[in-house]
Amino acid sequence: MTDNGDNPNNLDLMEQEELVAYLDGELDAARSAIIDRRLAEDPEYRVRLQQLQQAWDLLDELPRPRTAEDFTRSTVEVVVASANAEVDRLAAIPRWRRWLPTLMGTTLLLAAAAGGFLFSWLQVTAEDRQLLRDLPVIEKLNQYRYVPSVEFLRMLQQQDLFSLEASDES
Amino acid sequence: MAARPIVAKDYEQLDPDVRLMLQVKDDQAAAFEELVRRYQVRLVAIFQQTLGSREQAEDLAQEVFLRIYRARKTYEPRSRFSTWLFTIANNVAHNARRSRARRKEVQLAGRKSSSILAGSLSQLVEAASGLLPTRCLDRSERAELVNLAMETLNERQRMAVLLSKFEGMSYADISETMGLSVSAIKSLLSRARGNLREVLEPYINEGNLPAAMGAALQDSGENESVEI
Repeated sequence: MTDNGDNPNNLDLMEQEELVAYLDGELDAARSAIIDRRLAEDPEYRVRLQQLQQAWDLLDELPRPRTAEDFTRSTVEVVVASANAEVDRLAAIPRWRRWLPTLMGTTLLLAAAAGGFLFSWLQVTAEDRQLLRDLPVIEKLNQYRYVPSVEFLRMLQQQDLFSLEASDES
Repeated sequence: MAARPIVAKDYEQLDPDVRLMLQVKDDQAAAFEELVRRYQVRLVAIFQQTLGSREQAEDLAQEVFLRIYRARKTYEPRSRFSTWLFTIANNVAHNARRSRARRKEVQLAGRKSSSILAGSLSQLVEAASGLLPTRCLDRSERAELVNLAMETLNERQRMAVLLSKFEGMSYADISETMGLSVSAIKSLLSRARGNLREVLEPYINEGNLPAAMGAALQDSGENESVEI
């Protein structure tokens, strides 16, 4: 069987799909116009359409159920009773158990965060940690090169020049 | 210019039942009662047609309303209210069929076996077999004929037919309700209508009972559902 509609049965089915969609008002104007033209020209096609429509119209003969007078009331009662039962069931659960899922979720979240932090910390090597500690010195290494000695730096510190620089920067 | 997508506010403006449901969300009991009143018969009709039993149809209709009520606090209008309701109904019907299958209950024949029906059915069969002069079927006989024609459809076809015929749903709405593509619905409805035409054609052409259906009608008067 081919999928391109060459099979006569496929053609028939596709034709019927178009006809039914036409009856259901589901075709666009261009495709409806094609069906209209064919209906005007082809009596067999017209009969087929009429039969489809007549069979569809016969469905109106299906008995429509009449629900009992009190169906609405009983439905509302059933729903309210069920909703109340649900409220009662929830009320019967101790308060701490009602919060248990939230508590467990929060705990899991915190544990995951702590685990993640620990894992990333362990990934940092001792050498990297040393670099992190020395970072403030490394950042000003170029300036330190012009300082003749550590004693000179201490002298500047005693004169409170570093704090002045810090306040200038801020 | 491309069409603007429909948003929740649009559904609220276009569909009065969406507005009622939003009132239900705000715990207005009268709005819920009104929705039950508007949809109960339509739901029972769908369930009765798809599952056969009137009592079960009413139970399932209540189940649908219960689900709607339970879902009220999270309700957001994303479609017409009826589309949402019949989507739930389709799921409920599907579950009911599955649980019925689990119970291994087999409907050996048509749904009706009352003595009243059996009487008129035998007359139908006689008419079809030529024992009685051919005559037009009366209304209840026509109803039974159409019932039996509907039973020749599979469950999906039947549901699509009911939504299209009695709910006036578009292919797009039916596809959303049944969780199928629009082209699948087009094909489903085409086959369903083709089957109905084929089964009802003798009646349409000659106005009397199709012979093949006579046997089915006779059987439906004799058989009952059996638990195995």
